[in-house]
Amino acid sequence: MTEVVDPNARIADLVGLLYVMNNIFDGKTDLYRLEKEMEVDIDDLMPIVYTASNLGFVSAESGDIIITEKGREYVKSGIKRRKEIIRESLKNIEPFRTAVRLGHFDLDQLLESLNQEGVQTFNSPSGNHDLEVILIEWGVYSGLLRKDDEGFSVN
Amino acid sequence: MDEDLIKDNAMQRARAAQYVLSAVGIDFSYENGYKVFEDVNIDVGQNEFVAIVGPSGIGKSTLLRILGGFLKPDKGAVYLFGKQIKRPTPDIILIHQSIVTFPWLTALENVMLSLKVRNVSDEEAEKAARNALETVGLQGFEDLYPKEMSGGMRQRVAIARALAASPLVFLMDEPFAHLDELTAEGLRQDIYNILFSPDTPLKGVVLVSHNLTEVVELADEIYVLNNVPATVVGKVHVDLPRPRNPRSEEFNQILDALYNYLTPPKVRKI
Amino acid sequence: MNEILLITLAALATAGRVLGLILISIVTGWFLAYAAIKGKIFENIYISIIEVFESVPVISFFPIVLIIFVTRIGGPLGVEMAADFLVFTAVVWNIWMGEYQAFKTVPREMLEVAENYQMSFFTKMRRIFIPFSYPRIAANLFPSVSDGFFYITVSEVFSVGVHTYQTFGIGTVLDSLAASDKTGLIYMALLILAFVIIIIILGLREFSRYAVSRYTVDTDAPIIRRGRLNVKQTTRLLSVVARNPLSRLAGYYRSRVMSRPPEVFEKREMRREKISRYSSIAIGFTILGLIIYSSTDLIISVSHNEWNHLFSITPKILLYLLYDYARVGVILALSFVIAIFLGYYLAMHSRAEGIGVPIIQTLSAYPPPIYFPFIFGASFTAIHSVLGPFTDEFYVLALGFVSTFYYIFYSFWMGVKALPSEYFEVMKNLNMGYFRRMRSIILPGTFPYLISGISSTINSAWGGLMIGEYWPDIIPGRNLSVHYGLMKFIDIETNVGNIAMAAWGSFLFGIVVAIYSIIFTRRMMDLARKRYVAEEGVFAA
Repeated sequence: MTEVVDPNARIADLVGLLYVMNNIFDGKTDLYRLEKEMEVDIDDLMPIVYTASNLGFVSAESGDIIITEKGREYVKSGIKRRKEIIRESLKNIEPFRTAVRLGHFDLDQLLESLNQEGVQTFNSPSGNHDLEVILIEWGVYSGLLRKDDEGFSVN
Repeated sequence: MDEDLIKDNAMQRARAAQYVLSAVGIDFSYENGYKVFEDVNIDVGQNEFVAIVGPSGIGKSTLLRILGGFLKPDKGAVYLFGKQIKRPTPDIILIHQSIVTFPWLTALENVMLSLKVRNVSDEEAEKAARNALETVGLQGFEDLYPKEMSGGMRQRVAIARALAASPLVFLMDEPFAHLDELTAEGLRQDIYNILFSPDTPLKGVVLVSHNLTEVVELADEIYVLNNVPATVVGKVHVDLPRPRNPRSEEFNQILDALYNYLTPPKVRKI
Repeated sequence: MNEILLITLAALATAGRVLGLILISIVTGWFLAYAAIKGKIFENIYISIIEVFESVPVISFFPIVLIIFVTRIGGPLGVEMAADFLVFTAVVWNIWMGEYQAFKTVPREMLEVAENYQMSFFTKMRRIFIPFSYPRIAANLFPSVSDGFFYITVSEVFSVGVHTYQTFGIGTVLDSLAASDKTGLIYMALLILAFVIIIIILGLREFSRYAVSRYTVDTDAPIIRRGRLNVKQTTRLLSVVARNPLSRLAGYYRSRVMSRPPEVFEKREMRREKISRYSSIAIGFTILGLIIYSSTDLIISVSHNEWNHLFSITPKILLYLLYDYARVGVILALSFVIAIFLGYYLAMHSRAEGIGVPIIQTLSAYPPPIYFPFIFGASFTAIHSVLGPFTDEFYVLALGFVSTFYYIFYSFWMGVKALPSEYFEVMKNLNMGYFRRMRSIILPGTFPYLISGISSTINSAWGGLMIGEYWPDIIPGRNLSVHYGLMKFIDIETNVGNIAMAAWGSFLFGIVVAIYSIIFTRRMMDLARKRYVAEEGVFAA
């Protein structure tokens, strides 16, 4: 399966996950413990776990979750450095890999290209809106993309 | 009698002037006559983070609105650096429980709402609004509408709008109550980094919350409200270094102290 | 004494006519709405028809009504039916639309329960659909009652050529009292009518309070998914804002994903589904057919020469229409400004609101054509000495204003009431001045409501013009009349018995107005839906 940013993953969730992993669990725990400690259900937990893992902030395998060096660096950094880290990490996963390749695009063009790449994540009924929010949440926030009236461009 | 009262008030003011925000002897009843508060006193010192906790229905949000001048107390007064607060002011900004943005305004325009009331030129207002957005990490979002953003990003817009008013005090009404713990944790970290950053004009923060762990994690001073009508039944000073680990022994001792105040010993009737 | 009894009976007859027709609208609306949600084809036809007719002022039906009922059916029955039909077209559309929206938005869970228990058609109607539609009906009753009463004077007494047709009611009684100059009794009649209307309004308020408290479904709680975006659909929204264009649009665009009947369904079930689908298609085509039939019938019955004449006069008609649009513009601007100041004031001051809003509600139901002549009589000399040749124009605009001001006022007021309370706290917190509040927050935040208010206001401004532009003997010995205006043209042609000309005028009028208002309203509503939903600005996270 292609690595993607989950439509439900948010920056705040990433900060929360990494913070909890680093400060409360000393960097390594079982996912079920994390779930219990944070009083969240899998709908809340898994999108950010998958996404953080795809971005290389944690490694999640066989029910364990371990924070990586990059994850630790993220927690300790200021806002500028955090954005840099995310920006670099995004380039390797969808929908941003395709976005970077296109350079300048609107939502429909990106959706079409993603389909050609075999990325089905954003084909749901709310896919269009999901994609827009994800591009803004991760791409615009980290400074990888900018948005104007015509669509998105890579900075 | 009158002279005494004037002297009292003058003394109150002199005492209140030492604090950023000071509520003295607050009584308040709802319109239907139900008495909510009796003689509530709260002080916020320089650069202090104050939390107010209490069982649900005790009137925490109401108290916050009295502190902000949205509601008039029946008795007592609220002072900001010794000056009595009689109506809402941009010096004291209320942050709502739900995230409030205006969907017909872009992020930049949302933030500029706070600036135009200060009679600055449009250019300056725009510059200040861009700065505020940058403080909360939203450069690049200037021309986006709230609808295109996630809840977390909207929260940042709301915070930027609040900061742009250059307030001295933030009043926060359970800002994370609706969020799942993971998201809340993330926003908390972000927002408190912003609040404690040297760029802000803030001199004090008041948070009401029913999440005791959250409160112990953040506050310097915790007021516990209880009884009907509510009064301050206890005050706990938290002197732990940040970031605070909710699993540590000291942390749990403070939690225990808070619960002690919330459940006073039973007085046996004879 | 006898005369007072007569007046009371007449007022009751009129009220009965209005309320009875509303009841008919409600009952027929249930069945039509059910057919609409069951059959796509019928739904499309039905909704388009309502949309067009809703945007065409009632008054443009008038000449057509005369042709069909008075000349074809004839007799007292024809006259009664003509009067009824006019009132019917005034009250029916928003009720039908409201019921359709209600049926369309019945929560899927409820429908699934109904399917699960294999409820019959009547059980489904009685237990689910009809109760669910009460709050929307309640919300639509106020405008319907006002619209209904508005037209009683024109519908109960009208003249074509030398004939005057009338049917018993307060309009007729007032007409004859005015003719015989019995001033005391006229005041008595106005008072009695006011009394009847106040009772109706109080009853409606009670009903709508009951309907909202008992029959609104709180869909708020279950749909909030933490951390995800959800447009809140609260009870408050659904009930107070039943005429909100957004819910109306939501009705159109929300294609509900109905669970397909699974394979295990018995054959009988399948057949029933099919039958109801075919029957709804059939109803749709029947209605469409009737419309086509009657229009071709009409076209054929008009001679070639007459068609030529009608075409040659068309440019003049369009010019008259332009004059009338200018009048509507003035009325709208005036209503808008007053509505905004008054509406905001009332929404902010709860004590003034408690008194002001019921008064405005009652006034809106009290038909201006009934009391306007008396205002005219009392003020004419004074106004004339100031305005001179523009006096008549002034009165026509004034009549238009009093006939239509309420709609925009009411929509705006509801819009302000529906703004999230957090917005008001932010405005106070930032010390915003009055005009800043208006410009940045209140006006944009109430934009969807304003649009619906504006379109209703434009709509009923035409009614006021129709009556005001040509009003012979408004007070004994004095006519109210403008120089140019399409409404006057139609009035006069009707009066002299030239029905074909009147019908042609109102037909052109209907087309222009329908196209204009559908395009205008649609565009504005799209814009409103895209950006100006205040409820979306508060994110419960």
